[in-house]
Amino acid sequence: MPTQYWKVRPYVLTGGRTRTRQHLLVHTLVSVPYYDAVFASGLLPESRSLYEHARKTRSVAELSAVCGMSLGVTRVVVDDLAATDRLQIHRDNYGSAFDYRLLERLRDGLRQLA
Amino acid sequence: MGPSSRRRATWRQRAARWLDPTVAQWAVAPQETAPPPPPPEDRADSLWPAICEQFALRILASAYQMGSHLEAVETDEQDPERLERLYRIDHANTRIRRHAENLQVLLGRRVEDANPQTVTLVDVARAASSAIEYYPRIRVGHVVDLGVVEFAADDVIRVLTELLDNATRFSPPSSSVIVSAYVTEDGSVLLRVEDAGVGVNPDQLAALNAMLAGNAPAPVAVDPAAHLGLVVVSHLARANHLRVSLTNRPSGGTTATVLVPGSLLCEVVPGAQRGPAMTFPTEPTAPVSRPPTWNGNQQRSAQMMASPDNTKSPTRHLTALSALPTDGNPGGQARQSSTGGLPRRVRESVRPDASPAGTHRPQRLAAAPQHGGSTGGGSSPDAWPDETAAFAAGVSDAQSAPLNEGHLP
Repeated sequence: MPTQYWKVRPYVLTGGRTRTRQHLLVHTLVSVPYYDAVFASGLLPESRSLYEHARKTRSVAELSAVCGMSLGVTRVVVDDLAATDRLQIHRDNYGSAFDYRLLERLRDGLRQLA
Repeated sequence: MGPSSRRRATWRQRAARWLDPTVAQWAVAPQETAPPPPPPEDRADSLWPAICEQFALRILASAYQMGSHLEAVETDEQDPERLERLYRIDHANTRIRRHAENLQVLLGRRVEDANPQTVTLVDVARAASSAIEYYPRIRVGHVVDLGVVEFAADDVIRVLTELLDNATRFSPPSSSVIVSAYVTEDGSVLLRVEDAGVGVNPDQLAALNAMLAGNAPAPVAVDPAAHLGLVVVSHLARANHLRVSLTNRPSGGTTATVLVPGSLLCEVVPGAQRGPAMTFPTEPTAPVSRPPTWNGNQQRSAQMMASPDNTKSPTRHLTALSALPTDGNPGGQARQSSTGGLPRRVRESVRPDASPAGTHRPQRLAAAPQHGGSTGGGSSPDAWPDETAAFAAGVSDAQSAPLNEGHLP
């Protein structure tokens, strides 16, 4: 699990960008449609690690934790990968915070923790 | 010191006059604007390097503290707008740290790093670009999968920082600067920094290369502001046996190359290079607690500044490192134990009992235990699957160039 060397500041990883093309929530699900090892080997370490870990569908927050990056950096990296269609962002438009599916996922997550 | 005929100024007025020369015009007599540290000449002069070092250390300590606070806020920040502002503060703070470190280098001191660790070359390139002003213009090209050993990593980063800073400063603001790293035939690594600027004046280029090779004195006397970064580079290059040179590209622009000797390189296993002490150093104990070592250091710095003699300086620089624990300073030892079980090969390789004269230099190091342990692969759930790693390793050299051009567009 790559945690950055502390002299590599987060703004360098994103080129100073903090905004994303599309709105990425903490629980937005992300997955790799088809894994390409050649493409992965050409990526910078944190993009690569994110690409590897997203082979299984995961949420942005999960990826941030697994890759050891802050959420702000993870969002931009996810967004960059998604812009090249290497990463698929699953849009599920929850109408409200009390959407049935969202609550169901929350319940399942809590059950796993318990 | 003021003439007795005049009314004596208060200390506030004197301070204001010292800080702002325009105040003197209407305040008091012009004769009174004497330089503030007048006392015995030789003593004051001999103390200056030590005083400067103390301030450099204090600035460093504050910068570290600020960095740790910033890091905490950055990880929690959700709002892109505020995060961007935090990044700007962090960027400024990183540059403050860099300048304080450079001041120490120019004083002939070995910069004691807060948290030495093996750093991959990709991270060397990015750590170097962290501390320059126009970092978004840096593109990371092809970089080999090797690391720089911990005792040299931060010096290589500093060298690259200055070269990248020059490259971005003296090239059009829209052009990008490409940094790449290749293995050479003899196992060393060549770092290249390519810019698309106007290039260096050819006759100046020879003088600069001579200075970088340690064969000519630094042209600080001519213009203190010019080439200050390259003076830092030449100091660090001599201390670490790096070979730095500048060449003009026929197509326009300059290429700076750094040859990192094989003895400073090591293998890095993905996922295993991170030691236990990777958290940001919250308490920079060593720099602050280090007692000033007046006599030895000031002589050393005087010699390093004055003499371009390149056979003496590297060993002097290295013995400065080895002499630290014997200064009656427990800081070095204390920090050794505090960095978690990392083997402290620095102290072993540059021991004081090694011959001070001659060409003592850090030997090539065997693979570190923490790296060797996990070469079996698959031991940690986060490591790559074996076949993926093997495939990626085999493929990394054959891939096409555009894939490596750093971050995605």
